Amino acid sequence: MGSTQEAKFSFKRLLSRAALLVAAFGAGAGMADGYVRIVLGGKTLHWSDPNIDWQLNTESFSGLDSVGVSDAADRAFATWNQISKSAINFQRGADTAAADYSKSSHLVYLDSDNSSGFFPNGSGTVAITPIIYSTSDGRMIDVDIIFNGKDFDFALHAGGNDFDLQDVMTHEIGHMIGLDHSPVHGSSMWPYVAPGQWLHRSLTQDDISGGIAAAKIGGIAVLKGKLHDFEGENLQGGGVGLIRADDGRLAATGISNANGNWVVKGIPAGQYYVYAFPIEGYMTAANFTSDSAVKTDFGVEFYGGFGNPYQITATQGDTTDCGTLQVARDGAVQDVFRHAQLIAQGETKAVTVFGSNLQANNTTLIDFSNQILLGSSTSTSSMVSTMASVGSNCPVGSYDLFLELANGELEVVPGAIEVVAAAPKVTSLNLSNGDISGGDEVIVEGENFVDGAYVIVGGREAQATQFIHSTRIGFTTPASDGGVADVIVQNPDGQEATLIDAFQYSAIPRYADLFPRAGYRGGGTELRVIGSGFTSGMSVEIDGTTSTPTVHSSTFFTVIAPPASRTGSVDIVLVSADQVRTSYADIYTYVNTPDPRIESFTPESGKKNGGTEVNLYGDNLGGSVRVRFGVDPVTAQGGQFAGGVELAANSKLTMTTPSNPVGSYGVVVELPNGQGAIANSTFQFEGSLSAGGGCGGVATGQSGGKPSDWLAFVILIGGWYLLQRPKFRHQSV
Amino acid sequence: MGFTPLPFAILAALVLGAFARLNASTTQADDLADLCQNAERICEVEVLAKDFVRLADGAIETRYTFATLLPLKGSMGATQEVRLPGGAIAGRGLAIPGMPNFEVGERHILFLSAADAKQWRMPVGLNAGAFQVRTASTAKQTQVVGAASCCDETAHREHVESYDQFVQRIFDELRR
Repeated sequence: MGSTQEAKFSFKRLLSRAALLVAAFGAGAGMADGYVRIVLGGKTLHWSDPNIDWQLNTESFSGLDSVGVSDAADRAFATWNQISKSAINFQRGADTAAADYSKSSHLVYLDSDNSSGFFPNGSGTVAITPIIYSTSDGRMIDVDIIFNGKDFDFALHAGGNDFDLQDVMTHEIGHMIGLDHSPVHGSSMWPYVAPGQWLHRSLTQDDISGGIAAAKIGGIAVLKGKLHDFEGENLQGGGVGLIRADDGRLAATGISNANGNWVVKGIPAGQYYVYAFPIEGYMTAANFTSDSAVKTDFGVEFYGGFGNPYQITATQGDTTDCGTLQVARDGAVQDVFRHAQLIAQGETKAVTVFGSNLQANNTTLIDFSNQILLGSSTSTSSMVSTMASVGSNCPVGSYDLFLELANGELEVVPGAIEVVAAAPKVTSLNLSNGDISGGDEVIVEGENFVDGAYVIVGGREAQATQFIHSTRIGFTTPASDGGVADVIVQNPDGQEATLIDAFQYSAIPRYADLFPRAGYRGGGTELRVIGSGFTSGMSVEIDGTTSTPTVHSSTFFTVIAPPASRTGSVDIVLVSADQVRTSYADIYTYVNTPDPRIESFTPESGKKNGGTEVNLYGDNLGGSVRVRFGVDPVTAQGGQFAGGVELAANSKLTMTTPSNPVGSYGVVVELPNGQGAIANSTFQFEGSLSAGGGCGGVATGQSGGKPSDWLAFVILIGGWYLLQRPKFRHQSV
Repeated sequence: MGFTPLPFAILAALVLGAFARLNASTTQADDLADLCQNAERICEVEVLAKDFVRLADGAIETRYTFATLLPLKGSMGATQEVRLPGGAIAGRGLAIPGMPNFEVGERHILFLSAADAKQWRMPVGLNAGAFQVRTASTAKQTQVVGAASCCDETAHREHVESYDQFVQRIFDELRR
């Protein structure tokens, strides 16, 4: 056997029994490892191509924000994609309205009316993952994930009474790559879930090893061996657990085949204690999809024995054969442990394992970590309990608990303790409101943030999330439909913290430009304002006087300037329907002179390349006036200044039009002080192919050139083709 | 090992515990009260036959023929056909993680949902709604084992309970 054998465990065991463990905490990486793949008819289910397309039927998740559903699904699939050394690569296809699992696309959808047939009344099934496979080789052909929306509610956050969509989906995706349920209590593939649970959002090393085994990349560390029962016969369906010798974390579980052989792939390189155990307890063989027999009539045994276990070396790129392990005789003890006990780093919690046939006052709980301090065990015939103190630097991951009776009988609860990082807390935001279009830059403050954390605002994932410090994360708000939104920080391990009603989304009106920029102090000037976030409930304050605008669109409103008590620059404040105020300083000026007015102009059309002489009539035109042609007739924006503007009289201007694209446009006059006026009629710029060169122009309000222009165009193209024909022929040979 | 019946307190923790949900494909209901309430049919059956059928829509189902040994809730005949999704036929298989599998000759107490348009009548909570009945080798009494499939005659599991006690508890629940 290619392994290193050392006798060191008896010392740890002694310390544990005496509850005198001295913490020698040290940081470490990695987690617990353990997985079982689905084997049917002797074939291991697998994908022939690890690039797996999937499609989301977002709209089927009625009642949940579609963007939030999409984000949660992306996070769940990304969790599996991020496994290094695994070629599994989920690729999201276009969203679909399909809801038919028998088709060969890999769908994720919510079945709200049992059209799938999987959720008849009383089924009690929350979600299901039907796998269509080839019986000849185990190749998976189609896998879909279907949520039962008929009987259950799902949420985009943890901690509530509904099932967390991301948590459930992460588990189901494990089935999608052919993983069966795992006996590791804290793993994503543990068969039980509770509403509001977050634990399955992230993968334990157990799940990670499963992802690697499903489609490995490059050299990986592999341990293998063989199990014999107490009579020396091959043991089928025996569980195998691997504990990291350096820090005591569970590093993988596997299961032996019909020949008693077991293999565990994709574990971190290092030293391991390896043991065999019956898959019984709260998870049984009945939880497996595989149809192989599972033996449970034997007892826990270590390679080397419990008191003196071997340290077996797993090397990257190599397979280490651990040899044959003859398991112990079956004992009377059975454990009943429903969920992993979550204990945060630095925290102390009671751990109680229920069971049967324990020895009162003579059953001891033992772990392999020197960073988890177990107190004295208290036991009856049906339970054993202790206090577990986890060091602040204890590596996160799964840790086994062993039950040892005075008669030497041994039982194990794989991954009974799940050490987790301290939970995040959210205390404040530096900005409490923003625009529904998103894009506001915000910093969330709190504690225990981890690099890679998501920020979720109103169920939608924030953009440009930037981890600054364990107490600060910067992000850009996502777009919203409005209203008050919770802000959630979700650490990569799935733990989250929520600041309820923390961010107010409003259609915040934002100014971009206005016309004119000055007006008579007596009021009455119509202001044309462009920007964004304009809604019918908004108001406008001009120098402190409130006016009601006429909102034409979310980007344009008009408002009549009220009379002013003074001249000079004034502020304009845009007030949203939610009373969010946005102030713009000195953007409008009151003056003493009456506003100009355009009465008419002639001619009302001219060539698009300009040069047309125009006479414009009106009032209060004044000197140094400028005239713009080609402006938007609604907003008064854009256009080009006319040349040669001359004041023929106080009510008449002469000028030459500028060049401008074909179309019908407004005309404005502007005085040097910012006052201005827009004409009620428009000026038509007419196109001319012979003069303008053809097809490049954009016709505004025009369907095309005149018939004579089209005729000229056809003749021109035809002539050009005849001249070029020999060249085309030559090129085609 | 020799089987030793579990103390009732432990069974209560297992069977009556309310918050855990099977996440197989994800399922709810490991609570006997829930099982009794949600099931349209509760019965002890013996598996007489098992056939795989490919449906027109491409799905594969398993058609079990059960002899009804003890009807507990709902109306059913002396024999009944129960159709479940899953199985393998003509080179194709449909696997449903969490779906129990029954073999000819086995006895089970089943908590079955209503049948839907496809005539699928699912065990409530998939594995959680199927309990195998078998004779213990050492306790010399009939026992009920939580969740179906698996194992050999001597395998021990925590969901084991005496047959009489389990059936009595079902009756008690149904009388509530």
